Amino acid sequence: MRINHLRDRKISSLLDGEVSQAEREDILGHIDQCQRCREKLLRWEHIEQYLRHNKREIAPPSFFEQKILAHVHREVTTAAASTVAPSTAMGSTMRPYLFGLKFRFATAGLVALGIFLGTLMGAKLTALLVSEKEEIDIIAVLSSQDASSPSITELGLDFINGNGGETS
Amino acid sequence: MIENSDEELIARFQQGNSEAFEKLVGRYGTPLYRFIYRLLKDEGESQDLVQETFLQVYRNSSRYNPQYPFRVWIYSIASHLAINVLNSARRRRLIFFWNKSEHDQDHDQEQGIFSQEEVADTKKNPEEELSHQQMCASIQQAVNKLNPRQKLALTLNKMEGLSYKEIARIMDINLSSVESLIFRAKQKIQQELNKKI
Repeated sequence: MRINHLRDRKISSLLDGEVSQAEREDILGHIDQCQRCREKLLRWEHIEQYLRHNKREIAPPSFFEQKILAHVHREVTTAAASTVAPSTAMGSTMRPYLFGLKFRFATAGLVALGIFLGTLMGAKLTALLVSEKEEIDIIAVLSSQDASSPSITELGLDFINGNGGETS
Repeated sequence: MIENSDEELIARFQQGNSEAFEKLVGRYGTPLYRFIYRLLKDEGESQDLVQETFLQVYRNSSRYNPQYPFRVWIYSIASHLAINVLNSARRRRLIFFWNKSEHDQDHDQEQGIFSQEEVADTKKNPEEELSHQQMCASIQQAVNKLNPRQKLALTLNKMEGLSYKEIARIMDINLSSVESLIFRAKQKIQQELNKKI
């Protein structure tokens, strides 16, 4: 004959008081008859006793209730204040936005710097090209002595004749 | 003098009576601290979480459903806050588990939910006393190894004396899941104890 022993889960629920009255009677009836299930129940009961009764009653910090009330009061007051003055709430709510803004400013700054440096280099290059062109023009003036060619003064290069760069 | 029920107090607070809120703090401050401490074993963090729980009660009192006991509602808030901390602590432990030293394990026992000194006094025989202390320490170690949800369900049931039905509401799961969580927790404890015998 096959005997159905109690499942551990059922014994656990019995010890937790979570079975119906009819179920409880059935289980206890079986335990009366079955040595194996009785031993099983004792093992579970042993752990159960430790879990239920050997707990430590930890004392909370002194003036704990006052601390709770003070904390709640502080938080609620701060929240109310930040509703009145939105700028104070920016710290928490606007932070992601501000971070995005900072990033945009930094990017814009870098782009502006790039443009500035580019312009500067472009100007220098132009100046170099102009000076090269002017040199060619001077050579042409000096070599051809052509009346139609622009004069040194007209070219703004009269300082090379010892005028000290002063315009007349 | 007849004391107001929790539900009466929260109803009065909903109507703007701040004294009712103070009474709820007086009634639940210490029990909640003990409950959270049993889960987290950290005084500072437990204190913070209790304060946060009451702040949530203050801010969301209008959302309290009077169909359910206030106790279930406030434990539900505290449990959710605690389970978040437990989960993040567990993640940290999983990352650094290889660094766990013997000293840490001793520390866990000292900070556990069982007081070895208190219960040892009830024993007369020194051998029994030692075995009792060992049993307490072993159970504490086994409890510390439970996953956060099992630990929460077990603590609510064994330490706070809440029924499966109340735990189901607090954890927002069905009765069968509560039964399963508690059973698995106890089974794990038993397996851990069997390893030591």
